Amino acid sequence: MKLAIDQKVLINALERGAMAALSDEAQGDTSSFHKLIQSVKITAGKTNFIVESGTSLLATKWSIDSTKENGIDVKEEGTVLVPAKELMGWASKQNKAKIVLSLTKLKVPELLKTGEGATDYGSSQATSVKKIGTLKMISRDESKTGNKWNLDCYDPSQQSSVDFSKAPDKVIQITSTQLSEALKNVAFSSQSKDYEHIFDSIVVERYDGKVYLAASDCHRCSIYCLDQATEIDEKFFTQTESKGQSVTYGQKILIPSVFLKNVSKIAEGPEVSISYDKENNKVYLDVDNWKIRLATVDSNLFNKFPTVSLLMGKKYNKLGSIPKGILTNRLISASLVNKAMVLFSFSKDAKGDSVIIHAISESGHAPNVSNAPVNHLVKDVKAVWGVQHIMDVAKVVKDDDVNFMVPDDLRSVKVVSNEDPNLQYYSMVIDNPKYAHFFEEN
Amino acid sequence: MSDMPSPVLILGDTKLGKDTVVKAKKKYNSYYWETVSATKQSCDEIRMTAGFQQFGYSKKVVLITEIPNRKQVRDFLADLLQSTSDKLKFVVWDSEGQIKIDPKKGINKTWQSWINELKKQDGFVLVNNGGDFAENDSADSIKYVQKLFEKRKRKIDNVSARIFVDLVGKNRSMLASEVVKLCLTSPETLTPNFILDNTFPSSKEAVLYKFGNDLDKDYPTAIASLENFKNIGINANVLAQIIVNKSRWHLIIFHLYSQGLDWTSIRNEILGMGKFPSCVWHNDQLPAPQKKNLSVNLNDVDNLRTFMTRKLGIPENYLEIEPPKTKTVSKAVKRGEVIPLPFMADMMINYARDYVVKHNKSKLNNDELRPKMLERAIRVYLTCSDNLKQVRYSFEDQSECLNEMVKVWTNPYA
Repeated sequence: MKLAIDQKVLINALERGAMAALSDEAQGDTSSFHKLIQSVKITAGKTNFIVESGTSLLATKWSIDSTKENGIDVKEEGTVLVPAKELMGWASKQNKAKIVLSLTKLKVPELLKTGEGATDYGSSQATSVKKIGTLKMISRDESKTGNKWNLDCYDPSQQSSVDFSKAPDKVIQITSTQLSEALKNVAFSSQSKDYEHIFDSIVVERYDGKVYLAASDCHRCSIYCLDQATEIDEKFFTQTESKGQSVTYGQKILIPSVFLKNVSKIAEGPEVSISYDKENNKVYLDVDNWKIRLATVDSNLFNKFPTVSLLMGKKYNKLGSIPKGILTNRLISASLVNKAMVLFSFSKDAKGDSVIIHAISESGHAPNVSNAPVNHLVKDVKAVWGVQHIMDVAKVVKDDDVNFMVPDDLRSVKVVSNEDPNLQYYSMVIDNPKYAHFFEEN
Repeated sequence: MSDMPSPVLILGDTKLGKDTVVKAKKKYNSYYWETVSATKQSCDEIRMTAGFQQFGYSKKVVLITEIPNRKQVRDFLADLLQSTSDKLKFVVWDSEGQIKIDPKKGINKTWQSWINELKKQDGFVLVNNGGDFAENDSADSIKYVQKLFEKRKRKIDNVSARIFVDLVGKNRSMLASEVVKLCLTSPETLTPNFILDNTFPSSKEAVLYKFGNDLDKDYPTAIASLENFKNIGINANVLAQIIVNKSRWHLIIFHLYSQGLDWTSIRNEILGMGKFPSCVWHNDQLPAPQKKNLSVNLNDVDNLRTFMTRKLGIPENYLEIEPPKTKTVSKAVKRGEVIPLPFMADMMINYARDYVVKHNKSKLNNDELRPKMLERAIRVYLTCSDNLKQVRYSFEDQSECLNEMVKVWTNPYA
């Protein structure tokens, strides 16, 4: 294989095609196959230039026409399998250079022993990676000077490619800008790590005819309406229905949050298509010429993620709004005493509606009290809410005021945005006997 | 499914504690489980976790781990656990082993009074997985092992259970995990041989037991075992030393035998061998349990001085006991060679009586038997001891030396 490629094009291709090989899962692999898992397969054909990599959780494939207009000049067709991190690291330093990649094959392939891997349990499992040659990398920039380096090239047939043509039919199509916007608004609500991979996933669910993206850590939930979604497969996305006591759960898809966030950051195509392989628990994303396969939890566990209809089906009434800057300032002060939870006492007053924020701690700090003005307060309400939960949503909403809504039972609080009506945020109240005397005052 | 008890306090062995938590999570999987650390998270954060309502789950369990040894946290937890309800359950797990359990004294006073406070609540359950067994505590560890096997419908007698405990060590989680592994392949009744062949050795004496047991059988078994231990990486020096130790103990047995002692007396003598103080262990008039108690007392210098002067009548000016120069006590106190456990003494006696003497009885008359046996034991010891030197200082013929040692040891004839 021999080709000349623009540095920018190569980086672009590696960011997408080598995403799996560069992921933490691949880079932390200690098995006998780690050299292969951490490698990216590059195929230079006369018509196509393909970059692909894969792990059990994530597989990615990026393809582009190999034309000079696209910055690719294939002089000799072929395939190489080279360490992704090293290639990416080197290529990212060759600013605006033209890069030449050429494979020099060994006469006899060399077997690299990888039996020292932590998961190698004996000769029956011992594997060896076949080195077939060296990938010579030469860069040359506008000054006609550059850098040379070599990387080991392994046998590409040792790494099987994912056949994306077998992906099931798409069930929904979203504009990549809205996906990115939605993720910005919801992803902060998910847990960073859940060993069951339920609450560190983003859910796609249909409710009342619309499709929503939601994230939750079980105590709070951010929901974003994908109103620009098209080609929704309504047969697939059945809706949750309750008849008396029995509930029939609708179909939803759980997608690992960390991978989806990475994809949305660099997705350039106009649309992202999502399809779901229920038998193999895989989600496929198709972003123009970039194909992604993500592993998801077993569909039987999907309903461990609470359905959005639980929240959206509940009636919330307007409570009032607090100027965002003042609210954030008061919460920062209160968190000096108790960074977990504070009591919000909304009260109507002839002089002006306000909220008093009480922070009481178990650690022996003196209680902290602050107040803030409330616009259009509807009624007096007292509730204990999580400090971080309110501060997080205040960061996300674009409005000048944070608009609160509460249900009749006051078991949760809803925050809505006038600037972006697609966003809804819910947080549960906290039972804390330390604040009980405030409630008794009533 | 029965309702979950709460609050639950899990203490003792960490590995068994983890198993208990995993089992509880499986059993009460209709609850939403949240884990908090009492060390890394503040009391406010723990209170928040307990007080939070959650979406989609009506019932919750708060698992509190890493309890620090701090009064403030103890008081906080005692208060928090009172908020137990049908929908909110608590499991407190001493995952860092802060609550030390002394094998003799039990739990210390501070923690015990905290536990007593928790006990006042209805529904409180204490899961005490216990700590390690004391070195001299055989009865409890044997019972513990027998119970574990019984749970898995296996029978094990006291002798086999004791060998098992000796091989694995007196650590609860090691014993529990080894029982589970052994039960995968074990027959309904476990024999000493099965234990010796299949138990993974973890204590330092385990190789000695296993290899020693094989040596006492016959030449082919002994050679096969020798090869096996060499293959799994046991150093030739270690194996040679085991054979020499055995031949030395064997020599002592036949020395006593040649003096006309019966097998029971020989067993008691070799068990007393090397034990301090000799004036107690070799006193024929003291019964065995009294010897043990007395020797424990006499390990103290003042007690020993009193004993020597008042009981044995040695004048005080004959004794020159220097006080230690520094407060540091050397760990490497040189002591006489002892047979580690009674089980080993039984093995040695059985070999001498049922293998060596039995083979020679028909060929030698009663007068010849005892001196000839001593001669054989001397020959075996000297050969083994010479070969040990070869093994230590020459690397070329180690295998040959070991084979020679095994050959002379397994040849019973005088």
